[in-house]
Amino acid sequence: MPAQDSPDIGVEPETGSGSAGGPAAVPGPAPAPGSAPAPGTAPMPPAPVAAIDPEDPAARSTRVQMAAAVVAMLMLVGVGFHLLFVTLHVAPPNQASRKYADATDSWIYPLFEQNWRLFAPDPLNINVRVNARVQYKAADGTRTESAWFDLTGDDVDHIRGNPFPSKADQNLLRRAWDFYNSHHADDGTRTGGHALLSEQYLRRIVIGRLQDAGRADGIVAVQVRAVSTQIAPPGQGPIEPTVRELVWWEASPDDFR
Amino acid sequence: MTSVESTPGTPGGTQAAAVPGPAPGPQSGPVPLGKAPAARRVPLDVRIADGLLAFLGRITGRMRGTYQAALLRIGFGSVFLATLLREFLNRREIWGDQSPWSPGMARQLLSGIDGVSILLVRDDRWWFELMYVLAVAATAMFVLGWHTRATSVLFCVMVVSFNSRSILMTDGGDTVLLLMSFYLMFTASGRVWSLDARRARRTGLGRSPGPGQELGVFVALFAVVAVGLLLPWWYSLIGAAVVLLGLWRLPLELEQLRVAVVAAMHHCALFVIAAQVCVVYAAAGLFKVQGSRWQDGTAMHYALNLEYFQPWPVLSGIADGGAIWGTFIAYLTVFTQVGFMFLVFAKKAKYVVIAILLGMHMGIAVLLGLPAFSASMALGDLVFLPTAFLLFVQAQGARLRPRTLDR
Repeated sequence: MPAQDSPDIGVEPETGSGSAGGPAAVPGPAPAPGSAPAPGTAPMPPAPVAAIDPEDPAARSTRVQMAAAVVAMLMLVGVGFHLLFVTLHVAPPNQASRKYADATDSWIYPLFEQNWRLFAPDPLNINVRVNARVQYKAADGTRTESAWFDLTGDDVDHIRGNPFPSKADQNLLRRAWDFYNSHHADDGTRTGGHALLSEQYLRRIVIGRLQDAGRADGIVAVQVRAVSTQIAPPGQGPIEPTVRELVWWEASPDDFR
Repeated sequence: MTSVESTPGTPGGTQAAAVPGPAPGPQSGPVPLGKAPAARRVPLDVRIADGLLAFLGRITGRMRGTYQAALLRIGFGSVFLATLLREFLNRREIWGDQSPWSPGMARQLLSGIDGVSILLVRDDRWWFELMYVLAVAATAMFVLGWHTRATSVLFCVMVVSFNSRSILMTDGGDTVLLLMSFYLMFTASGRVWSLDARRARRTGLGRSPGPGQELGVFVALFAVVAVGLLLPWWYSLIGAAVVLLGLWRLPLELEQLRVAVVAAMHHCALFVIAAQVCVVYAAAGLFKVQGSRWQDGTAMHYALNLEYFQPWPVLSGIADGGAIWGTFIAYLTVFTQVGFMFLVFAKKAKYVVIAILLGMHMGIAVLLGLPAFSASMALGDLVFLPTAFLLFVQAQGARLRPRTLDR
């Protein structure tokens, strides 16, 4: 290292690394680590040509500016189309969104899907409790039925007093039930392409909870019911719940995890 | 700013077009004196062209809104990180091998909408656990702003993947998070308030590609691989080619063009983010206008009595406090949401609107037990805060720091 040649710097072990930029022309009073070589000494390496800041728009040639303008123009067109499609996707159904539904869907899914009917047009006015019971088959072939479990009740218990409730309590069963409902008529007729999927999801939720509790061995069938309680208008007394039972579903091996 | 406006337009445009105007005068004999001033006016089409060029010059020029982008990066990154960590004990039930929404079912639902998820690449537990750890790490790095552009891609991949794996687990907050994670990839969200900014300050190394950026290139390659697990393989081939170019310094003009394009992308993405927030409120408002319970003022009564959104029944009972209060809140909500996109461009009224919305989201966070949803929505509102305000907050923060850290 050149630093060692220099008499008065011998004690300064870090100079070599300190003046990494300047090939230590060297001498002089101990240079502070980061500083440029001392003044008044041998030829400086030419100061790096005042580098042009590529971010400085004023330093750009017309050619660069024009190319950038063209690219920016194309981006703006893209932005316009994106926002148009998003608007058509979220707006209340209208003649434009119907006419361009295919193009809109192909752009929106899967990344930009959104739905802003938050508590709208009206907030839900009903509390649904999803209950379930199961049939066990013993080794000798006899079937026994369990009592009803209040699955929603468990969720609500977990949410009470919790400042940051889990998705597993807030969304899992609640949205599974919505999913089932959106693919079935009130009498249980399958109406959507994912009807079977939504049924399997409910079965797996029920059986999964029983598996967690260690009570799933020998389950052969599952039944779900919804106990719905209307929220009374302000100032009125409570309303009696209504019960809707679904049919018994045979459990398949796929329903166990 | 002014220099940009003048340079592209003037040489070819304004003057060339403006000069010929008066020139014919002397040759064509007597000219009505009254016409002279009119002739000096720049024709409309030229002015439009000039305006357009000046506008394009501005969006390809110096970046604005870097503080807002950084705020969103830190905010949305933190929301996702908090969600991942909060659900640590439930992670396998929500996204993993213990989920009642099995990988097969997820694939069946996603196939209809071309959805993808990195969690569905393999079905075994260790893959899920690996991805979970990776998601936590990538999100933390994103919040800190470490090689931000690359980690922003990883962040988006993870947000998309966790959402798609269990679509039926998501709510409105997750939707906002998903949209923003995508838009944020295109912003320069690591310019300030980031490890990148600190490194740039300390080393003096710029952001341009070239020697010294090897680690960034490596992280970016990592992100490219993650993307390659979701999209057709040739996407990652193109991605890798682009990323590897970052090892060499570009010729000056190409580098200037790159910087200009990056700036334009940043500005477009910020605009889309702002527009997206407006779309959310406009849609939410328009749907509420159709609702009879919002009109008769009982909407809040019903919302506060839903068991799934009632962590503190006593508080909900207090908030559900009477006809005047309920009607006032219902109307305030609808007016604020419908009017959001108009008011937010008003210099002073926007503070009032933002304050009202922040208050509402605070209420939703506590009363309905939806802190993550509320935080995502509130972050959307904060995009509209001016840079001066953010710098003021930063200065206040800096004044506190010496007392807490240095001593």
